[in-house]
Amino acid sequence: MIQLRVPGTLAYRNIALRAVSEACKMAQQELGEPWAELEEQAISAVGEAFNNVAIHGYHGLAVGYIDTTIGWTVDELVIQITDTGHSFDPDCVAPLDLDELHESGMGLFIMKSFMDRVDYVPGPPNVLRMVKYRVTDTEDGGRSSGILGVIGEPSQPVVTIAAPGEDSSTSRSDWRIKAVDSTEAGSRLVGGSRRG
Amino acid sequence: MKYTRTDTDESTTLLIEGTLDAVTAPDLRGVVDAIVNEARKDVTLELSSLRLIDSSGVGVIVSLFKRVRANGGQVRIQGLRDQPRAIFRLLRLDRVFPV
Repeated sequence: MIQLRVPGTLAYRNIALRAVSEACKMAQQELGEPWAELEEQAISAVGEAFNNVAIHGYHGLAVGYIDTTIGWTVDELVIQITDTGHSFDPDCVAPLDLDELHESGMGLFIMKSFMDRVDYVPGPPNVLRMVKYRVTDTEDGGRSSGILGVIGEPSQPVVTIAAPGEDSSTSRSDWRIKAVDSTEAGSRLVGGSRRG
Repeated sequence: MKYTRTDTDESTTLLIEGTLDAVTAPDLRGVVDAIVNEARKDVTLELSSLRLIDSSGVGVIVSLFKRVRANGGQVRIQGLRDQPRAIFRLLRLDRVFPV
């Protein structure tokens, strides 16, 4: 499991996307086989989620954090994004009419299209959970996806990048990077069973 | 994100490199406005070096397309690949811009 905490502004967007990109590479490396389009779809979905929080979630508020947690099994990749900004109701977002040419309002559509499950629980904290299933060929020529298992190993790194002014045991430039108990973080992510 | 504009007669080519997203899209608005205000009729976006795009970046390109078309011109896209190509296909922009 990889966990990243950054301030909820667009200046930190690329850091979050790089973490997701590296996690996707690691997942595929561990699995030993390609996971078609995983990286570009996960990055696209997280990018839109990050935009929503940074632009709308913390609008008019003191900027808080965006926590991004990425875990995987042989069957799926799970990305959880948590913030303490304004909540939103995904059901109130109008469906995207693809017969029209849009200049905005495409973010949620991209998230839902590129991920297999998107669940949002309003907070605080607001929790957005996105799942991408790995579809594999079966012996009978069909395709199947697996079920949720244990996500994360204690030996895997969990990193927090804190804003200037926060307490931390280690300083690097104007960010602080500190280790977090990955077992605890893992239990938060694994928390429920797969629905649906 | 880095862009390079090249004009020849009535044609304009805009080379966009790197990442076009919520962070960088505002930087492209100025050159988009200039192309529209100068009523350029034949605009080509060269995107073979575009690595990543999000909905904000798409919004700028769609805005350029609509405004150039309203002026009686056209916008073409060439070199689209990888993640940007996936986004264009998802949003069915490949109907408007052959990719």
